[in-house]
Parts: sequence; C-alpha cells; structure tokens
Amino acid sequence: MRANVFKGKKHVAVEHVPDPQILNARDAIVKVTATTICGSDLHLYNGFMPGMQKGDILGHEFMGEVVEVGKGVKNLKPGDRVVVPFCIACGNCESCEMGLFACCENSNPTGWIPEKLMGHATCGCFGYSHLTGGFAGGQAEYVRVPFADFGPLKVDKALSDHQVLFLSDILPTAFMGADFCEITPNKVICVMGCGPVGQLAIASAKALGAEKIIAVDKVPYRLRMAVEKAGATDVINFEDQPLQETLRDLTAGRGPDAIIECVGMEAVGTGMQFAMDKVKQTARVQMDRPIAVRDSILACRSGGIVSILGVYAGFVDKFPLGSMMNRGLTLRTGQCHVHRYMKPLLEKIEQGVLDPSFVVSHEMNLDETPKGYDMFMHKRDEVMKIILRA
Amino acid sequence: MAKRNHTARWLALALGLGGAATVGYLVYRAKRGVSHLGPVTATVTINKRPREVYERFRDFTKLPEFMTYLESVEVIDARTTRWTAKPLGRGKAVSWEAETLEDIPGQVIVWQSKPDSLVQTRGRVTFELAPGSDRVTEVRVEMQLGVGKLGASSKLARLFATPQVKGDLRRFKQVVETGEVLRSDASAHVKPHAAQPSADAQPAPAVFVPNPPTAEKGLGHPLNTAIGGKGVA
Repeated sequence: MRANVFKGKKHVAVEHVPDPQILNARDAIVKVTATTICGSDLHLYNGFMPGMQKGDILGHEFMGEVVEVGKGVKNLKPGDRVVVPFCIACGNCESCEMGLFACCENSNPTGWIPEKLMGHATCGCFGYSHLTGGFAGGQAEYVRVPFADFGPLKVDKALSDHQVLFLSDILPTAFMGADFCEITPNKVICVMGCGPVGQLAIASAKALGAEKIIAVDKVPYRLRMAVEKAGATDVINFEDQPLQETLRDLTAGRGPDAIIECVGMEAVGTGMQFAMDKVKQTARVQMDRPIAVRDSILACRSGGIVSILGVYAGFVDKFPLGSMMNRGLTLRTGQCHVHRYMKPLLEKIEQGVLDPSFVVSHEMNLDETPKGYDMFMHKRDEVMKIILRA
Repeated sequence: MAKRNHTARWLALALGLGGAATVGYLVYRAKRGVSHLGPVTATVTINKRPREVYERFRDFTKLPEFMTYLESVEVIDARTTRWTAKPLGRGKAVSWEAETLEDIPGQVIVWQSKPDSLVQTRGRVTFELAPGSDRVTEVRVEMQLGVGKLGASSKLARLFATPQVKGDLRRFKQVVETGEVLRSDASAHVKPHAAQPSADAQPAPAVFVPNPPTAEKGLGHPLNTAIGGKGVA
C-alpha cells in the first residue's frame, strides 16, 4: 500500500510499504477513505517530538471502511463506515472505566519510554512516535486499528466525510477544551491560537453558551475565519496589538474567565523571551516553547481556568507558577479523551448544533501529502485544514 | 529527679513497644513462611479481583505468554516446576527447577530455585486489594537473583531483573484486563523497528481470552456535564 512516512526533519515521503495485518484478536483493518494533517503532525515534521524513527507512518486523524476484523471483534463487520479515535483505548482498565481514555493503561506497548520521560506511561496513539506505542498511522491506504471492538464509531452514510472526520481528533479535542472552562453565558472565553483546533474551540464555546469569545492569533485570514465562521466576538492580532493590555481592555481589567490554549510547543511570540525559547529549543536545552501557556496564565482572570490543548512533550523554563499560585488559577489539560465525546458530538452534528466542516480548506490526494505538510507549515494559500484522500 | 524518672519511664515504654513490634513482625514473617527478600522489584495495578489475577498467574505453564524471557514452564509435581529461559544469542537455553514454598490462593505465591541450580532465584508475588476497592488488585513482586554458588541477591535482581519484570507485569496486566498482549507495528519485532507494517513480525502468542470492554463511552466523568452526561453536576 501507499503511506506517508517520516524520513527525517522536515522530510516526509509517500512510499510503498507492506499492507497491515491483524496482529491481535481485537484488531480491525480499515481502508482509509479520508484522513488529515493535524497541527500536532507538524511537531513531528519539524523534529521536536522525541521518539521518531525513519520509516514511521504518520497520521492520527482518519476514517474509513472496515475490511477485516480479528476473531475478538463482534461489533464491526466489513463494509462498516467508521471514524477512529486518534488515541487507542482498551475499555477494560481503571482509567478507561473512569472515562480517561487518553490515559489508557494497556494501549502503549512501548510505555517504558514515556515512563522515563514523563513518570508514567501515556496511551498509545496512531502515527505519533515510539513514545506513544509505535503504531503505524492513518496517512495511508490501510490502517490496523487495535481494540477495534471499543474505539471506532460507526457513522451513517447520510453525513458527509467533512462533517464526521474531525470526530477522530480535533472536534472532541476542541470541545473538551471548552468543556473544561465551565462555560456560562456571562463568562468571557479567550482562545489562543486560531488553527483548526482553535476554530473548533471557538465554535464549541459558542455552542456551550459563551457570549463573548476573544480569538488570538497573528495570521489575518485565521482571525477572519474565527469571526466569520467560528463565532468569535473579538479578535486580537498579537503582532499589531499588545496582547496582555488588549485583553485587559476588552474585559475592563478583569481578564478572561477562562482561556483555551490551542497552540502547543512551537508557539511564536514577540520579543526577547520568544528568541530565548527558540534558541533553547533548537539547542535541545528546552523541549517546548511554552509562550502561549505563559501568556494564558498571566492574562487569565484571578480564580479562572486555563485549559491547555496544545501538545507539549517535556520540560519548560520560565513557567509563571507565582502568578498561577497567587491568583488561584486552575489548570486543566490532557490529550483528548476522544471516546468520551465522540457519540455526544455526533448527535450534536446530526442535530445541526455543531458543524465542523467549515475548517476544511483543501482536499488533496494522499500522494500530495508532502506538499500538504509544507503548505500547512508555511500557512500558504490560506490553508486551514487539509483532507487527504487515499 | 522526678523528671528523670519520667524520661526513663517513657524510654522503657518506647523500648517495650519497639520490642513488641519487632516480635510481632517476626511472628508475622514466620507465619507467612518467607524470609526477608529486600525491596520490591516491580509492581502493577490490575482492574480485576485478586482471586482472578492470582489464578491467571498461578497457571504457570502460560507464564511465557507475557514473560518474554521464558521459553517454557513445566509443572513437574504439586510443588516443583521446571523453568527454561530463551537462549541469549547463540548460547544454550538455561533451565532450572523451582519449588513453590507457599501458595495461598488469591494472596501469595512464594518460590525458590533448587539449591543445585545454575540460576538462583527466590521470590514472592503478592495479590492484595487496592485501598478502598472491592475489585482492583495490587500485584507486587519481590525477588532475588543470582548465579550458582554465589546465591541470590535482591541487589542483583533490582539491577538486572527490574526492567524485565516491569515489562512482564505490564504485559500480564494486558493479558488479564484485555485478553492478550497488545502488539504494535514497532513492538511486534525483537529489534527496533519503524512504526510501519512488515511481513516479518514476530508471531503472536496464540492465546486470546475474550474479555469484553467494561468501560462506558461518552458518559460518566465528573467534568462531562456540558454534553448531558451523567457526571456529577
């Protein structure tokens, strides 16, 4: 089959690789009909995530048609149309029973690697380094899906791929970020970063009843979409306006009640601190550039909530713990517990309350994936979300 | 003077209590029939009752499914088992016999290799309910390891066996909770391998014990209030 594989820093290529096979009884093989490039794939592409190996198949957001099931899978059959959660969960461990599917205790066969870096193992994820299990990803013609009797969500043919594909990752991720914020109509919500997750976080905050939503980015077309499509009421371009002061002005000095950080380890900023972070990250002294997290903590209203959705891998410097502690902030974060949100969000899509398809900007053939990575990274052609068709 | 009496009395009481505790501990140890083994080698928490976890472990011949260094375990009689490790490189497979010194269903298994074995090992695996739970089991392995006449030591075990035993317990948990050892495109190989399918993946252990998921999707988390879940409001 054809698959997009990691070749090295800023180098991916579509190659012919062996077809996947059933490796466990609870596996299914899914023929990918639509997949995407996620913002978090760019962290792998740019070489900032540890644990990548040459030849790894990338991609964790995908849907398709079941073509084969293992002997332990009774709820799926060949021909079923499914969306697959990016995080792999067994459905049997204590974490899964608590609804913490992205903390599944059984889905990472290489769990000893994150144990060394992070203290405990993470769950397994598709196409996301050997830290998360070494599972081949979804930017391919076929994918092996472990615990297929638990994860994949069957979806009706009446809904388009554009409507349901993002149930795999960015819609539940964005919604969880908003869910963390305990939204009521009188709360001011700020969304840092207006990439696809940021756009859907704005839409989710709106669906949950927020009346004032401030979108922050530096790319004009992204801020435009935040207002025109997602539902932001105010925007700040942090290259033109001082972020902290503008946020204070917009909230009469209080600061936003909750901030959803949708940026991650490759944040950009202005000034000396950003330059320092970039040098430290390049020299591998610091794994992440936590600029958006710092800004969020400083900007948030006292007693407020900072909800971190951006991906971080390791250790950071200059973390404003004093601000967080003295002003009683709550920090909520996590890889999304996709299985918790998929079905309720599918219902919201069916009811027309949420429609994530507005983020789609490009469709490409799988063969053009390398071009897609380059385009997404450099934000060319007003790119928002790229859909790949095998 | 009165003050010194006071101090002496406290001292006597403390010594008495300490002594009682020591005697109590020795009695407890004697009752369990095991000598002191040293620090815990590895632990794991498993979402099943101690009895079920114990029974899966007690099925010695199936241990090689998740103890990847083992070739086979044969049961010779009620107390004796024969263990064969996979050969290292081109070397010969090593075997040793072990005796089950203690076996309390749902609680503890204690083993010791025969005195004349090349591989010297002594150990204990305990199965205890997690605090406040009626179902979750804490598994602890304490063991000593050594070669020939040097005898077994817990230091050697921690140095050489801990990573292996931790991995074994991680796989044991997968077997008990999900029915089999989970494999990924990378982990299905002995040597480092990219996360892409390959034809020469290691064959899977044939055993799969159906174990349907117990978790509920979409519901049941305290934070999950906004979407109409049954979480705590």
